[in-house]
Amino acid sequence: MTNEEIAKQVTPEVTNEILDHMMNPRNYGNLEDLNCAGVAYDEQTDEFVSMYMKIENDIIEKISFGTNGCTDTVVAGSIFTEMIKGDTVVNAKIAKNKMMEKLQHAPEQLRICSTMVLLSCDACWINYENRQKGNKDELYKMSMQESCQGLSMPQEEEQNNEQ
Amino acid sequence: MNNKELFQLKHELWLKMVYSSFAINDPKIKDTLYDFSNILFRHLKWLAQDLRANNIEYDYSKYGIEIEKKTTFEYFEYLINEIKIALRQYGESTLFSRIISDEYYMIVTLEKLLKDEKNNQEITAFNKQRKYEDKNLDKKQTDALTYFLFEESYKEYELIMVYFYMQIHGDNIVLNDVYQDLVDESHFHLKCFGNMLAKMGILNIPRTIIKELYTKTDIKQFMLDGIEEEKGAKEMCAQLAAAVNDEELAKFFDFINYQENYHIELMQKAIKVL
Repeated sequence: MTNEEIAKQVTPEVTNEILDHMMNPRNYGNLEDLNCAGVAYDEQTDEFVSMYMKIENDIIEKISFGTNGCTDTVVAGSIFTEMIKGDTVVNAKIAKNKMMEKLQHAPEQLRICSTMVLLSCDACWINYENRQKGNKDELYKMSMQESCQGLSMPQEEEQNNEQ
Repeated sequence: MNNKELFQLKHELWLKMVYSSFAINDPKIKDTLYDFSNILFRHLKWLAQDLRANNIEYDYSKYGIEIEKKTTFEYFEYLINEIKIALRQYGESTLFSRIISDEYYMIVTLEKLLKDEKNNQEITAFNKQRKYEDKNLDKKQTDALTYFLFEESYKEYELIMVYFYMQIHGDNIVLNDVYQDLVDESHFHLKCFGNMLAKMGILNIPRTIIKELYTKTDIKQFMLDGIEEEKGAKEMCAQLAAAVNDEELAKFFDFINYQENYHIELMQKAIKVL
């Protein structure tokens, strides 16, 4: 593997928009008056995304998220929460599905990190529906089917061979 | 303001001071502010110990910190104002007397800096130029360095605060010694990466740490996960050293890489005690 390939594998391109979200992640942190919460969890890496929303009359009035994940996860969370804030849950679900489709062609790490953000939204909406039915669970938790464990790390042998 | 709220204010004040030191280019002023930030961090530790002794829980919540300024004078004025706000909150105790004395001295020093127009310099830490000194990095190398610095500067801040929490809530001397070493090492790494972010024009305050991270009860598992993370950080350093293709930067990342090796040793030492 060449140095250029290593650099490409390690990082997606940093556009001005991505840099802006890296420097100032939107909607990050706790939400005081939430009425639903969801968590997407990667059991292999212990990484998670927590999503909090306040939904009133089917509108996502407030939204925030937190994660112990990587920069890709933060950027994806920042962009997607900004996209669906103030919109209806129905539209947000459509946006989520479209995003899932687009991500099929994204680099693997970016795809998995972004999927974790989208899955946490699903978990949040399930928690909301459950609460509407009288369920008192504070949050709904979903496990990731895929993990990004080891993805950003080229095999040691390959690096050594290159050297 | 109760002491839990005061802890948050002091946590924010430490971040404001340390990130101001990263933002300023003048090495002498940078050092002065960094020394002050170390003093403020010790205040934070003593305050946390006091809170724990009184069975009061605290957390790492923080309000949005607007750290971007155009000149060094704007930083001095900002910091003086922030310290004055803190000074209005202290009660009467030996600890508070010490803190008050330190912070008055900080104000005096900053006011003195404000009197000399030579100290009024332009800030370039937020210009988003993403140029690192005289290095001729191409777009991919610059992107790799950008990602690394964002990832690792947050990680070092997180490690400082998580080990700090464990230290305050732990009673084992060997463990607390290990935590102190890890906190000290992460302070150094944060300083390195923070200054590099500023040179690249992309300095930013790290995001808030999720509470579940530092209130973990299974410390052994946390250490085992930490070893894996250190191995990951080592790999990132090695990858970056290869990717940037610059001898000086490669040597720096190798240096950090070897330091991560010893962190693993320290964590293994802690696991034996747990």
